This record gives sequence, structure tokens and C-alpha cells, in this order.
Amino acid sequence: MREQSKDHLREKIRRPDLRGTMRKDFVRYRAREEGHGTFWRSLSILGGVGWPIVLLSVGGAVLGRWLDRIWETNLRMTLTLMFAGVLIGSLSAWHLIQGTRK
Amino acid sequence: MVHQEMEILVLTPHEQVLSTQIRSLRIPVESGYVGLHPSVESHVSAFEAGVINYRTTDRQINFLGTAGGLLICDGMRVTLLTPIAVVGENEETVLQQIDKILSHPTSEMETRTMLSRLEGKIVEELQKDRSERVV
Repeated sequence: MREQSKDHLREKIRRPDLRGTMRKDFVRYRAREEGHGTFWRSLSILGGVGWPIVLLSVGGAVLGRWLDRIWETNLRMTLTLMFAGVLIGSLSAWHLIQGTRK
Repeated sequence: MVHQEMEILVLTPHEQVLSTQIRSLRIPVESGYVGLHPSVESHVSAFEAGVINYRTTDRQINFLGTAGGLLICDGMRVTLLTPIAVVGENEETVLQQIDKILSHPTSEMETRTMLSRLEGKIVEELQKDRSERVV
């Protein structure tokens, strides 16, 4: 905690790289403006976040159910593949969000 | 009555960089960006170094590069007090002007740099002393 406040203090007193700060601000501004008013872009991001989770978890459950029926493993494969689908879908959504933030 | 415009006044120790009517502005603060519109509550706060963008009365976006400072707002007028400020219509203009200023530092800027270094050293020494005492 003390180290953290020390770093914060150092950051505050250090003379900022003015040009670098401004360049970063312009990059942020451009990214913000590009994202503005593009309904389809926003929709594609929303879809990109939601659909992988839904499709992979439902797909995993269906495949698992089929495998359970063949191998007579009760619900083991259904639950395993559904969980794997949710996990992969969430990871893919996280990657997508990280990509849009850059 | 809701006002559509407010005045922006940008002052450095040497000159008045900007004085014009605007519709809104977006200013960097410690926690991110803050948008100011006419009739906003009166307040005084600190703002960070970086780019401020403001919408002129003819709805154009212009840019203001500053080294951070103090913001005084009374709803009808926003006053920015900062050591360095440049105005431009686009990224290139602002960066070119800031390069020009930084490549020819004034005696005041050199003094400020020296003072900030000195301040840094003092704080570091004090922190070191305090941590040694705790140990």
C-alpha cells in the first residue's frame, strides 16, 4: 500500500511527457469518434460478445447429450461440454472486448 | 432560461491564449474526461495535461493542448489557468505548436523543470527517511 502511494506520488511530481500525452489523447479521441454513430458496429460488438457464449454452450450441450446417449454416461458429457462451451465463449468475448478497447 | 453558449478563457503566465464563445468542452481530469456545458454548476478544479476539445458556436471541434492547471467555472465562463497552452484545428497544428514551444524552453519553463526535479528529490528523500524509520 505504501509502495503504491509512493509510486502515485512519484507519478504526480514527475514532469509529464507533454507531447506523448497529447498524442495519446488524440489517438483516444479518434478511436472515440470512429466508434460514434455507427449503429451496425455497436450491434456487431454486442453480437460478437453474446453469440459465441450462447452458441458454444448450446452446441456443447447438444453434442454432450448425443455422446451421453451413445456412451451411456448419464449427464457427464453434457455438463462437461456445456461448461467448456461457456468457457471458450467467454474467452472469445473477452478477446473481442480487449480488441475494441485498443 | 437555458444558455446555449459559454465563454472560454485560457490564460498562461505570459498571454491570453484563447477567449471565445463555445457550446461545450471536454477536459482531461485525474479520473478521465469531464464534459462541460453552459449553465454547469460553478466549481474550481484541477485538470490534467493533455488535449481539451471544444465545440465552437458553429459546431466545429477545435483542440487545445495544455500542460494541465486550474479550471474555474461559473456556468457562463470557463477559465483555464495553465503554464503552457496551444490552440489548433487539428492534431498536426497542435503538435507542431507544442514542439515549437518545447524546443525553445523559456527561462520560466527551465525554472519550473528545475523546481519539479527539486520537489521530486525532496519527496523521495522524505519517503526514504520515513521508510527507514519504520524499519
